[in-house]
Amino acid sequence: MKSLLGIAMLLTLSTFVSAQKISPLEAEYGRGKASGEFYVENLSLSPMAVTIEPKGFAMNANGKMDTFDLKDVKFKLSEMSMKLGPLEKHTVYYDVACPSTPCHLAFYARFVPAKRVKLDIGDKHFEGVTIAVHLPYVIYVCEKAKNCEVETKEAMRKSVGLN
Amino acid sequence: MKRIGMLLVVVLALFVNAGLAQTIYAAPAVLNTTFTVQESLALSVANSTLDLTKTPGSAGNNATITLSYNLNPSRPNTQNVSLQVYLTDATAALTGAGLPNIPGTSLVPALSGGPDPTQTINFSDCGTTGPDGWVATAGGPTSANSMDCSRGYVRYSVWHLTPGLQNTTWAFNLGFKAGTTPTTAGSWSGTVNVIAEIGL
Repeated sequence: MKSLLGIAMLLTLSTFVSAQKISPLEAEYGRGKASGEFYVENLSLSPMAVTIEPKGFAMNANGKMDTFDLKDVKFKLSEMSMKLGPLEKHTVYYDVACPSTPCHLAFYARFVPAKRVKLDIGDKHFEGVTIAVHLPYVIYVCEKAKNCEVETKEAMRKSVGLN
Repeated sequence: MKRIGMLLVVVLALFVNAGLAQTIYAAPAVLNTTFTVQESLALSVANSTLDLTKTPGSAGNNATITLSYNLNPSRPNTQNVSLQVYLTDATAALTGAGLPNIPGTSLVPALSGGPDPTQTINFSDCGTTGPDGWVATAGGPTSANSMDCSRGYVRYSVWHLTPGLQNTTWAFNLGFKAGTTPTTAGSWSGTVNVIAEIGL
């Protein structure tokens, strides 16, 4: 009976709709530097833990982007992690310095529930598989900001033999 | 004097009318100007914790992922959004009979819905026999076991989103295939990572 109650509680707690948002989606900069902001928003009614993960990316032979850990690009973030209450919105500020242009990177906001659902009843242990949501904010840096994204992607396609 | 006053009122009314007419005439020019949309992307997950001990397809065993976006009309209409889904740090502590005795075959989640429901996440390579994986014995493991499923991965693309002010949603269903989930007592933990790609 206690086990059934535990499972029912687990399901009840886990059925909240958990929507997460990032805005804007990308930015273009010139002169090899970038400085700006983006915001993350917890649209759900339960607290969320947010981690900002910097990632590099490159096009593969199939024309898809592969992400990898950032190496050469230097950056500063106002925060790397935060806790967002229900319906809370938070702005993250950044500074990026590229060793050469063009360069590009993405800041991924990773949202997970601030409290994992865990229930121990007797010798039974109930814990589900959490779903983490990752949303990107992409930065393109060139000598001139205008058309930086388009030119960067064209260069990527040529480098892998596409187009 | 009274007539002059009335004449002035009429002239003033004409000026005002002309001014209004000019304002109304100018309105289309305002509408033609380009405005920038504050672009955004949101993922919502109904049922953000999966209970893998539940029957596949039942409540608690699957999650619906909805993608919402608001894109600038100036974007090319070939803009795409991809979703990567993979499982990390999955551990299982299961007891009882009836568990599969082949490493990794018990966990095969599937994405359904969206434009291409055929793609599945196949975690068949996760877990090995030995201390960190499934114990391949007849009747399945008899004590707590854990496994590493960090290699499960799928990239699920949604192409040709229509830019604009409207919000559009795509619904995905993340669940576990029938017949692949243990139904005996125990627990699973881990994280399914859903990664959106846009602008990359």
